Amino acid sequence: MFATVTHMLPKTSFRRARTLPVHGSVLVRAGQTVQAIDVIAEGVLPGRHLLIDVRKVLSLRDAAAAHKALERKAGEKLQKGDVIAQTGGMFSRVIRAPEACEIISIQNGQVLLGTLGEPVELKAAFPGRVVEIIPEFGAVIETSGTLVQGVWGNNLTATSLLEVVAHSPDAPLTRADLDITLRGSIILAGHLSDPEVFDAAAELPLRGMILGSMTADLIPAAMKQPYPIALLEGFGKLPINTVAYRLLADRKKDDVVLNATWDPLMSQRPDILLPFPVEAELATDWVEYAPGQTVKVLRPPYASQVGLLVAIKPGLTSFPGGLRVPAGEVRLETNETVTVPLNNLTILD
Amino acid sequence: MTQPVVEAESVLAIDISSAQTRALLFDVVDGQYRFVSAGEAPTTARAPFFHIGEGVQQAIQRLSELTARNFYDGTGRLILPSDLSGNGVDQLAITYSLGPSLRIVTAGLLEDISLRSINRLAASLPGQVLDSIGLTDRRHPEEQIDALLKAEPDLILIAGGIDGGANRSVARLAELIQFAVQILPSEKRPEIIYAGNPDLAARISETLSPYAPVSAAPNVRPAMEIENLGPAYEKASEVLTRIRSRQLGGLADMAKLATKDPIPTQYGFGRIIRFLSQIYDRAKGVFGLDLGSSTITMAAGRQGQLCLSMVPCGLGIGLTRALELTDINEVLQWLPGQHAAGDVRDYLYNKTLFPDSVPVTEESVMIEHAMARQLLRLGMQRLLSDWPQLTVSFEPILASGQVFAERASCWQSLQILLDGLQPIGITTLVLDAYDLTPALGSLAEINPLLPVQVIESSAYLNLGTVIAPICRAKPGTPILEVRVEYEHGEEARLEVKQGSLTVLPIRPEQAANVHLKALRPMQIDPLRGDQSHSYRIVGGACGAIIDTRGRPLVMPPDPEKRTALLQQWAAELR
Repeated sequence: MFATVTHMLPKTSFRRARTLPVHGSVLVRAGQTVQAIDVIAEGVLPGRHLLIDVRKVLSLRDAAAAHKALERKAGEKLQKGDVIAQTGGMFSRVIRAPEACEIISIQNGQVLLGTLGEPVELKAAFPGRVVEIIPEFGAVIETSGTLVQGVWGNNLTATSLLEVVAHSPDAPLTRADLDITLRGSIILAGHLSDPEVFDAAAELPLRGMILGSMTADLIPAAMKQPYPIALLEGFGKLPINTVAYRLLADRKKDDVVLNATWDPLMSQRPDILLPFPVEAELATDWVEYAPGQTVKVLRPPYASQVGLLVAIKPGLTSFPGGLRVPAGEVRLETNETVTVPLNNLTILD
Repeated sequence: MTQPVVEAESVLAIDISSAQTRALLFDVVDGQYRFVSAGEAPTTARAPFFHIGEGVQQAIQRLSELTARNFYDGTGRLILPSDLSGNGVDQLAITYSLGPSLRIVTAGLLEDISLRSINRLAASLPGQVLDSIGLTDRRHPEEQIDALLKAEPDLILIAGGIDGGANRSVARLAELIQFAVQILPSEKRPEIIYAGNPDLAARISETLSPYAPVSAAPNVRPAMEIENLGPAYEKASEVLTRIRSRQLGGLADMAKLATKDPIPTQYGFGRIIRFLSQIYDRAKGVFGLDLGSSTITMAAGRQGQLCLSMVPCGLGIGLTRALELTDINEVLQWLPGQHAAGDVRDYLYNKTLFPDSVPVTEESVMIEHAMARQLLRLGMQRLLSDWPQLTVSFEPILASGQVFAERASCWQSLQILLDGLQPIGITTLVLDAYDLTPALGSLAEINPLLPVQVIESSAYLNLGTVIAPICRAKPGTPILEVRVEYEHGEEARLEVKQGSLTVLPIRPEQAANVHLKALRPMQIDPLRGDQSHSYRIVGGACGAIIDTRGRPLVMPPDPEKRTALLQQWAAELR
């Protein structure tokens, strides 16, 4: 049976595709070295559209007459005031471009104009090497360092220095914890349940937040914050798992890239990268369950606890709720051995 | 009586959901088609595989282990048709219910006529209608174009004009859509289904097909007073499969092996409900629900006409959307004891992070069952909003979905269905214990005899008959005298009070005549003309139940009273 893998790797290489939401130009080439803040592609978001019925506006008898009155073709770029169509003669009626725009299409006596939209830039998000170009959209970047994966994020990205606020894996984050020394940093903290902390973080400002857990009622507020927020464990009051805590807690002041992208349909999870050059094999994204693997339990009653998969039970196992599913025996760090459905485990690798 | 099999052919049905891929084997046993066994594996449509093939192969492998039958030859190819030694299968069918929520835009003329019908067609698809353009739309055309572009639709559904009716307005709609579609980048251009005035089909295709694929379906509104969605459902099924073949790695390759094109689960499910509605009580109609990981399908069939609604909510990956539509208190009302709203919310949002994870503790099972009730409420609300003429009175009600098949006992399933659907009148609750209905719907096209014989087999579980009268008496008031007359002549008598659940003394598979005498004004079965109030009942797995809790069920806001009530109902059913 396949297992989901959550990366907790002190030294690794991995690849991430970075793409624009629209067509655009890719500004890097394969093999090029990039920094996290480098713009690797740019494009223009679609603007508004204007539909002008030339026949109606110029009071012409049919579409053919409208086409005759047109002085422009599809694809032409116009400045504000440029003539689009006119009847001619002594009392010529004229249609002018209301603003800078492009003629998108002309059909049946109607002209569709498109105004210019906002430019959009795509940053590399990770320092590394471009290994593949995705024409018109972006590139695949290979990077290396310490990698810790989260489970939820608010889809923003930032780079800064790591500050460790979590004195223990389950320490609550309060407004009082956010002092001026943290300004501009990405913090690692245990648990958040106070919405006021978001405002305090924005005021400082912080560049990002890595949390063990957060109460689910804070999701709407987290989505509105201007800085990335990633959860390592989930919602509720869950401590940071011991493996992640060991990897991150003693890396104070190290460079950190927080990519809080989360898209369950595309299986995208937040990445926390502490970059440094290292020769390492690419991280594997899947394995089959096997005894000896380090696992994390995803659901109650042992949620976020780390252990060793000591055996996979044959057939189906019954649980108190009445469920019968494939399961494994896990020796937790407390030395207690528990039976957990395989579906409720992720491999830490 | 069931017909004998004329030409025996084994059938393998692959059913791919967002969480699980199942390989279902049907074959002839003692001269009748039967469901033989199922192999199951996690679906591999997402990372790291992004290809359904791996999950399909594993599910077939598991089936092979269970049946000691080889499905692959030495080169790893599916043996199709079966060989003389009995390995392989003769036919292969595929159903699927996974893929991102479909982005849909609908366009029609009048809101209550063509637009309503095309929106009903959209309701049968696993997605959201992000914009609707109609004649009464007051936006400027450029605003409509921008709205359409913003929606970035995967699918545009167009209707308008009865047969031989309006054409200029429909042509104008198509021109507007043409402007928008040509702006979209070629890889983002939607599929288009035209299901309006057939006189315009060629013109619509000429206008739009240079920019996007256009499929024509028979008019969904051939006359003002006639709606005809059946053929459009079939066309939508075909188009959705094309869209999913682009979105899901491996589906197109699998389709090449299949006897017929793959079909979306909901249309397979709908076919069976429509078929059953021609056999069962024609006045009441048949109702079916399929509670999946990503979607809920609600299907009501009456005299061969199908009302199909999908809600992009489920107990797995569809939970995120369900929580957006749900006040957490609506889930809490089904949980006995003291539960902090925040804890329940946290639990359910964690489930959205690990949609394939399973509930282990009794408390987590209770929370997921409470959420299942709420999902059924959402589904029923959607069905009744799409089809306001429907009443919640059907015979029978067929329930399908993993939560019933694997994660709930018979009594738990019964209670989830009663609380979530709140049926009225007399109905039989039937459980699709192996989640076969969508696959049977797809097989109906290949082998019409197979679904009929499998439905008659023990693969479907009769949970029990439910009598749910409507009475306005106060809770605790005696409202019914019940006389149960067994086949061997003995009788049992009992009195039923308002506000209770009563299990009648009828054992599983035991037949009895049940005579009801109303002690208060009440409506026993609103859609049944027969006023004799005597019914022949065959006991299901839970026997037969009288539900006098009233409709809609109103739960006390006070947690202690609510807990007492939930515990009382649970005790009454045990």
